[in-house]
Amino acid sequence: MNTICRDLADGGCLVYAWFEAMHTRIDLVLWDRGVDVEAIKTICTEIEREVRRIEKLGSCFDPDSELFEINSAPSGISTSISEEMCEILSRCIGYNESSGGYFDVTAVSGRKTKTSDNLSLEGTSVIRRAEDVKINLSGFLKGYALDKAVEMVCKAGVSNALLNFGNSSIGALGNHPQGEGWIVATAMGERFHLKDSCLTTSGNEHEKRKHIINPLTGNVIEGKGMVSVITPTAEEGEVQSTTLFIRKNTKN
Amino acid sequence: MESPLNRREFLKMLGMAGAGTFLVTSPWLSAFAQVDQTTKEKVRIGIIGPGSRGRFLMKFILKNPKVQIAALCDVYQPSIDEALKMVPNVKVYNDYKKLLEDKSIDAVVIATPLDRHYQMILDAFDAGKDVFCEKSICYDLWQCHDVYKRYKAGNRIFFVGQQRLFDSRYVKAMKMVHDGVFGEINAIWAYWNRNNDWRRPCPSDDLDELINWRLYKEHSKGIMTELACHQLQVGTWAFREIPNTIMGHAAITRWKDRREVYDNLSCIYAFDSGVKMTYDSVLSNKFYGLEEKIMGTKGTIEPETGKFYFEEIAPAPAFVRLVDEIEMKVFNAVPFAGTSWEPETASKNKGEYILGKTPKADGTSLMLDAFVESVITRKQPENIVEEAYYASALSLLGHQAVEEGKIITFPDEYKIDYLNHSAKIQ
Repeated sequence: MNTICRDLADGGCLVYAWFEAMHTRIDLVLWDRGVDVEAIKTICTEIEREVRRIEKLGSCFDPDSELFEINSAPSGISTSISEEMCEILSRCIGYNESSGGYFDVTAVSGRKTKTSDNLSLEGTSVIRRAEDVKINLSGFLKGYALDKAVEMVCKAGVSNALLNFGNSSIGALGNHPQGEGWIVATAMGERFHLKDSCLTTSGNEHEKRKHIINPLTGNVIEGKGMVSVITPTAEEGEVQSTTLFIRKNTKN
Repeated sequence: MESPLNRREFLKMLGMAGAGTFLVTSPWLSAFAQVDQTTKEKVRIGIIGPGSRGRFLMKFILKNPKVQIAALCDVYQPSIDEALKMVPNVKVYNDYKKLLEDKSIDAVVIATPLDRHYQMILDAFDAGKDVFCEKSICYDLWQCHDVYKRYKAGNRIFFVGQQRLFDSRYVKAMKMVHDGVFGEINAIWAYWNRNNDWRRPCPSDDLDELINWRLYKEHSKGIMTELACHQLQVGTWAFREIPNTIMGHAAITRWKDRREVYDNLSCIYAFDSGVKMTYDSVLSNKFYGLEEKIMGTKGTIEPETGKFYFEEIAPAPAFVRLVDEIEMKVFNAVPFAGTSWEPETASKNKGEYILGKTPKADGTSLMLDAFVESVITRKQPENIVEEAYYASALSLLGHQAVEEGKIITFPDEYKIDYLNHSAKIQ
């Protein structure tokens, strides 16, 4: 992890830390009065450790991750999973229901069926209903990790932070030293005022970047465009922004 | 020609509302502190040596409404003729001492061959003139030291043409270096490569030594005093330390004409901790051009090309700017939100621009503006002469190491009170 530290003129200190994890970049700006630089750097280090732990849990690319093991296990057979993974999958099944089917961590299978039809949770075990059912948490995990990071900052007693998880998931706690909340802008110039809230953006930044699947049709969403939402938690933001982007770009 | 930057543009390029946070790294920027209160002033400047470099400086001076070029002096009439096209109807002298006698002249710009600097600077001080002298300060180290002592004993404004001190890329780069953004700096690799004979056109052989004085040992120490001087200053600026051990080797390998100075040279400057700055120059290959690569444990910054590279992942420019703005008490939007950041962008490691884009100016115009401000306010900016003194000293010691074929230790008698040095002899 790299850091830039500053003592602020009005007292207090600021730390900017950044690193790469979850196949994206993470930027953390934390500041407060009455907390020393080393204490804030320690929080940043702990956040990095937590993000890497979550990545290890839910990466669908890492052969050593728990998710990779689930996706590799034979279908139709119960696979024992951690309580945390169980909780994540349980929530994802719930979000599939509440989003009308637009948010689906099994969308990559192209089966056009509900998440709950593709996965069964039994205690702390999961069953993939068919061999082509694969779980991809990429549209969920950043928000999940960001919420954990926000929780850690609050628990450590730091009041102000701007946390960026890959530009698409942003958490803002407290205030900028010179104003109320934080103002975040997109490259297109859209401005968002955030305070104790999260900004999540889903979409295709350019024509060639197509990565979001409409679970109801199995088709990839084409064309440039994006949707941003402000929510109390980043996890909600992931679900809502994905849902709205797909709905906005789906005929009828 | 570079486009001159005014103070406002300079500060804008630094991404700041003011230069306050840069004063720790670059205290000489204080020269602009009263720039808005000096608008009605007019400094009268005499140009000693309006050759190609002198006229280059004149182009910037003429753009400053606070200056009037009042006189020219040169022993070479074609230089005078060219300069008169830029400033018709000014007084012309062939003897600089006559120009110095002119009481209406406030300050002089000295852009003459190196071996002439020493006496001209001292005579200008004695005549009560403020001085902007091209680098290096003098031909010999004892002369540089003598000039420094005379400057310290008097009250004249004194600038030396180390223009990187006012180059926005370098100012920002040094702040990042000193803030530890690139980790621990253990090495600097500076080089200036060209693929030409470094000669200026000369109408006749008997004028060669006058026109191409850089190539003759009687007048210059070649690459070290004309090129390396700029870049060695970058090293001490970055390390905030003076190296005490100097070694080198040089030869004439490509241009075996009448020249007496080297066209193929390398020097090593070792600091007490063992970290080092290496300097290379060849006049037979231009592929890598010029640069000072400041190499830290976390990344590399190249102020000449205006870019920096991280060993792993670079800081996000929007967040670097946010940190700077917070320090300056500015509340702005942070422009970075969007769809997921694509990791393949990082693996290419194309680097980031220090200032968003590479400015065209190299600091010369700002340095001249700063000189004018200082002449008006009578406030000599902190450290500017000390930086120049050590740039000259290290250049000359590099040359000495090459000539003697020895490892040289920085002589105690030429140390001044600056950074890790203290004057041994007052």
